[in-house]
Amino acid sequence: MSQGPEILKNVIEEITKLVREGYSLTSIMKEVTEAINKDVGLSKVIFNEIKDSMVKISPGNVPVGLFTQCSLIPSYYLTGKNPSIDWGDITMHLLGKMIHSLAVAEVKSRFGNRCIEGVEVMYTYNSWTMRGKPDLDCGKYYLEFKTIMGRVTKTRLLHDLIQAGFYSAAGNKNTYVLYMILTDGILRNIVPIEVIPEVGYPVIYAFKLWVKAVEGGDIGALIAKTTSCKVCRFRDICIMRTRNPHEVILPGRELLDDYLNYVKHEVSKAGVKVIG
Amino acid sequence: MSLEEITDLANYLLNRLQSKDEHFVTSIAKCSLLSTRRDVSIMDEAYAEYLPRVLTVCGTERHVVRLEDLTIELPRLFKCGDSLILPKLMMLKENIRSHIVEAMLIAALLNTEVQLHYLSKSINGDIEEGVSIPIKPEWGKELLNAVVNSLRNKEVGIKTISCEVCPLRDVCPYSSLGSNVVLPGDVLKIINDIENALFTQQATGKENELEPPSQLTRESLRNYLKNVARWARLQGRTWVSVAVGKCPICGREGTLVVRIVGNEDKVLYRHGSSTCTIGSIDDAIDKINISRFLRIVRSDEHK
Repeated sequence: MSQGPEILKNVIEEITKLVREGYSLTSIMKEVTEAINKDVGLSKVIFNEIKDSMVKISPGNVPVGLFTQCSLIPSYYLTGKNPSIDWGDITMHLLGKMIHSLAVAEVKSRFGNRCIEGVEVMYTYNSWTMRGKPDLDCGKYYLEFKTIMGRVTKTRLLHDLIQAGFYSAAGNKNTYVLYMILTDGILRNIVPIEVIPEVGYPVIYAFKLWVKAVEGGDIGALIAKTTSCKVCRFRDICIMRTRNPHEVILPGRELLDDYLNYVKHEVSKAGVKVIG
Repeated sequence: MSLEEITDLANYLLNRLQSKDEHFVTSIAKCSLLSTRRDVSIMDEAYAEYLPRVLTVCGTERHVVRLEDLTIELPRLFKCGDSLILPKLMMLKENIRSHIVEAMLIAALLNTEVQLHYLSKSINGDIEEGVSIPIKPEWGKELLNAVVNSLRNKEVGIKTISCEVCPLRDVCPYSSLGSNVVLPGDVLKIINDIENALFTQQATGKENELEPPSQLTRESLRNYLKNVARWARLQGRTWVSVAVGKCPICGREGTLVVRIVGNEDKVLYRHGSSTCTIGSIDDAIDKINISRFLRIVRSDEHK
């Protein structure tokens, strides 16, 4: 195990020799990096890049997507705990994101500068800020792309709905969710859903409750949860894992029942089976 | 802005994402009669389009090739070092044939070796690290002839997907082919060889999982215990003796056991008739002590 420093010493000597012989340091470094990349394997490189790009969270900032999955997730990040991420998590994360960039490119080619990528919407309460990034800001409305593969659970629809609702409420304009429907990997349909600002009020209310709880010292406040603990990245370390894993928690969620039925009706019309 | 206008936008998008202006290699590899359909290969296309956003170490290449009077578009390829890579997200038993055919067509069209690269693979239920498969340019010559004939005569020259999932199955005169695969004879042989090599390689990989790590580091030990737990689940075992060592709870010598309880794994030390439970593999990894590993006895060795 004490081989490490020895190897490093050899590498440094080798590089010094090459520089003396007139090689440029940049080209040597490039070769060394390539060799390392080859050694690590392309899969590992991609894995690490995606893992790094997945979540950045800092005190005072709460990403809405994580909060609506489960309010314990931002708490875990804030207490310095990181999730264990494996190939399955990375693959599923990509599956959810991938087709968006094709769709965004097509919308931009139609509308030109009218729609902008990367716009952030924020809602601040007591120096805590909830943030979210809709896929496109088209001036009078936001566009958000979501992918459904074959079938979908009702809680996933609720999660998408309240996330889009937050964009609408915080930005004070409608969000249109475009569901890209795939069966057997083939794009069959695109279903638009209109989400008005009022849909986001329960999330904002939940966020305020969460901030109050965290400020009062209860960092593990379970105020919102739509994602099953069985697929949660923190499932290995979570203190709440013995609870009903499929339980959905959101204050005032019954107010959204009719809206959720509208979403369910629209995606069912396009041939999607809604389960749960 | 009203929902009607957004519905218009959705229809426009659907239209744009369902067809291509040119013959697209990724679609041809699924069925040559679908050569201008984008929707059948949209997942593959999306992955290759998305990847440059996160993977900045490799450059990307786009190719459009003229083959006699046909214009054929290739998917986005990656140049990493000196290898040309066709990236795919996940290897599944049902998509691998289409991907190999696609890589063979690309290698033949560009006359260079191509690496068919998977980020992940899911063959036995678990999603794991993927593999890289080198594809030689000479393998695809016959395929190219089949493609040219098929595109000219509107006959099925290549088909690797089932007609059951095809968006054109109601109007296609060949839909009675069902799940049959259509490929030139020699090509099918090459593909079968690659598939066989892949699946036996995986089988031997599984055997090696039960070899204790040669160097005892935190990570290697953790991986080993996880592998044992995964193996135990597959075998339906609930109790696997893994090693011998000193128990961190009571200080006595004991047998380190991986115990499967429903969806959870527990690590414990057994001392005669009593046990000390340490916790999940992740929790236990920093506490356990191992003096030597035991050889894991497979259930088929008992017979």
